[in-house]
Amino acid sequence: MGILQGIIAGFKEIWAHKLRSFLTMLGVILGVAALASMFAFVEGMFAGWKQVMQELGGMEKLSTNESQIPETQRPFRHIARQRRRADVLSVRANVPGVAACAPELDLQGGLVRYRNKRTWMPVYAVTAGSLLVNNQTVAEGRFISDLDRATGARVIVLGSGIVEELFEKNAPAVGRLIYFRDQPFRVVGVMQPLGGPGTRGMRRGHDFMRWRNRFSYIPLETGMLRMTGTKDLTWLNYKVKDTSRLDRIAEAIQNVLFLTHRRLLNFSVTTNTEMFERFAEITGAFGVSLGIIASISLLVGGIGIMNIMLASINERIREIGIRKAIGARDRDVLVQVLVEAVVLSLTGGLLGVGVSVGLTEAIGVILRNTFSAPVVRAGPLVFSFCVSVLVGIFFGMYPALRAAKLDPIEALRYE
Amino acid sequence: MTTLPACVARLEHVSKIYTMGPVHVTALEDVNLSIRCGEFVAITGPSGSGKSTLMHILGCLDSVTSGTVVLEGRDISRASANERARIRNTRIGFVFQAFNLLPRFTVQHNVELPLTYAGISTRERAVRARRLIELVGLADRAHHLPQQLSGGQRQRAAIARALVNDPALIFADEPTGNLDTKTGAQILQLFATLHQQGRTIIIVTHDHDIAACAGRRIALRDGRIVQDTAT
Repeated sequence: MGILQGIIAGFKEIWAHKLRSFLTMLGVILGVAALASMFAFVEGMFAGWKQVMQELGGMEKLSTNESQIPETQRPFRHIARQRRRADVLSVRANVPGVAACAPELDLQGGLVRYRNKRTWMPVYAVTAGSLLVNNQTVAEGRFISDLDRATGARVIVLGSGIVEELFEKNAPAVGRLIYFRDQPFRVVGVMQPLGGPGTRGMRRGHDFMRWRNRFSYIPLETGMLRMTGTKDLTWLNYKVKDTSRLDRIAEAIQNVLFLTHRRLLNFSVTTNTEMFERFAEITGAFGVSLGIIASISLLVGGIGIMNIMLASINERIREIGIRKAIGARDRDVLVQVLVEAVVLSLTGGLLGVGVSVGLTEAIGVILRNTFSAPVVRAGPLVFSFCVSVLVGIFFGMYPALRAAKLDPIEALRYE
Repeated sequence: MTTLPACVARLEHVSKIYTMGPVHVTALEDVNLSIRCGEFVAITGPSGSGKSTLMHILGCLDSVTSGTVVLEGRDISRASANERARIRNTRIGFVFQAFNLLPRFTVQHNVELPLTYAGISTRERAVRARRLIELVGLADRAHHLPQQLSGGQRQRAAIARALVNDPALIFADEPTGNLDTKTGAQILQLFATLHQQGRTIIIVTHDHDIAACAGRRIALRDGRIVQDTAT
């Protein structure tokens, strides 16, 4: 008896007991749906986080932040130097492998006014290098230039979010005069919205992006001279050429700053690596725990199949006896029962994949404002489907063996 | 002088003992029997006499405890389960008291089933099954389910199934037991016709009228042959 006939017989058997088969399949459907959705969920988390990482400057970004001075150096605190432009020049002169430097000053934001509209906006005083270090581009106009810095010009590059708030739609922003902390600034450029036009991040407009898209920039010297009045910087950011040398470059920067800061460790050099690693860890842990939960539900589905197959062969002992009497070998009976179990799990698997696609779409709608919108890919769907087939074979084997081992005489006598 | 027909099946000193826990039940004891080609044999005896066991052993459904079973010149007493399944499939046809048709299959499919296990192509299966369905007079019922047929028609379908692989031996276990007298007579007539066509038929029964139709009568009691006569 061929496999094809077995499969046809299996489908007939399922069709003959529609409700029972459906209830049995339900276990597999839910199990496969859980497994495939889990993949999509983790995948979505991964993709979302990757995007955030990229927009925070990616792996190539190094940062020097303020740090608590160590206990042993406390007495010398008063001679400690803050992070200044001199540090940038030293790093650029002494550390090879740095592609760009970005000294930045956080102005802590402030009120911005255009005609009768007012809003709060975060403003940073930066140099031309920030564009490269933060992986950003200008959508309209230009970015801060060295000339702006040299003259301490009151020019500003606005975030796309601020432009939307202050100006009428589709009107050019460049050239307008706005007031930031009651000082007039000429708009010279608009930042490209993060997430890019038309991409998921932008269309679904999640909160992180909305927040980032409000960031506006003025020349570094303008900020120092006209706003803070100090020469201290908030961050010194760098972009390295080659991420494989990230650790060595971080060490080199550390050493240079150690000297320029008079050997006082009131700074720290941090990389994004740790963030990436922690994130990979979290994703992995999520994957494993969700995978276990999904596997348990598939296991339950498999047990359901085994149960129903045992009941089914018990009902058909006489049929098996007849088949054996007219020449079915043990193997024929085994294949018949096994194929039925696999057809059950296979149909369940197919439906489960369908359910999971629907489910992930639904979750995607709920999570549209976050980074974790699930991503459906073909690979995990095929994998989940294959697992369902394996479940059918595994849990169908015992009932199939029992059926195959039936004694034909006993089976024929069975009422 | 006529030449003796060839021997289809032969039992030599066959014993069958069932072990049920500590109890040993002797179903057959030192049975010697030879069935020739084209014979019409009735095996009779009260229940528990071992006639079913004898049929199971001759029909390759069961193995012997001791002794030799030879079918068409081949010793099958030590055959494996798979070999016995193959012999049942190609050399033996069974007709049961309760018809034993598969309820969800049409007559056509039921008759085709042994051919399916023999690995015969779909097209040839249909043709051969069709021919036998016509032979037993069920041509207009070929695509009915067993439950849509009368008892006599079901038994005809079962006979067609038993014949479809052109077996050397046809076993009928109380084939008229579930039928009324008139239908039973028709079925018996069908067996007689098959016998006239040269087929070897063994009927297991305790009905003396049926036994009288057969050309040879073997009576069993307590696992032994007590009578073996031509009628």
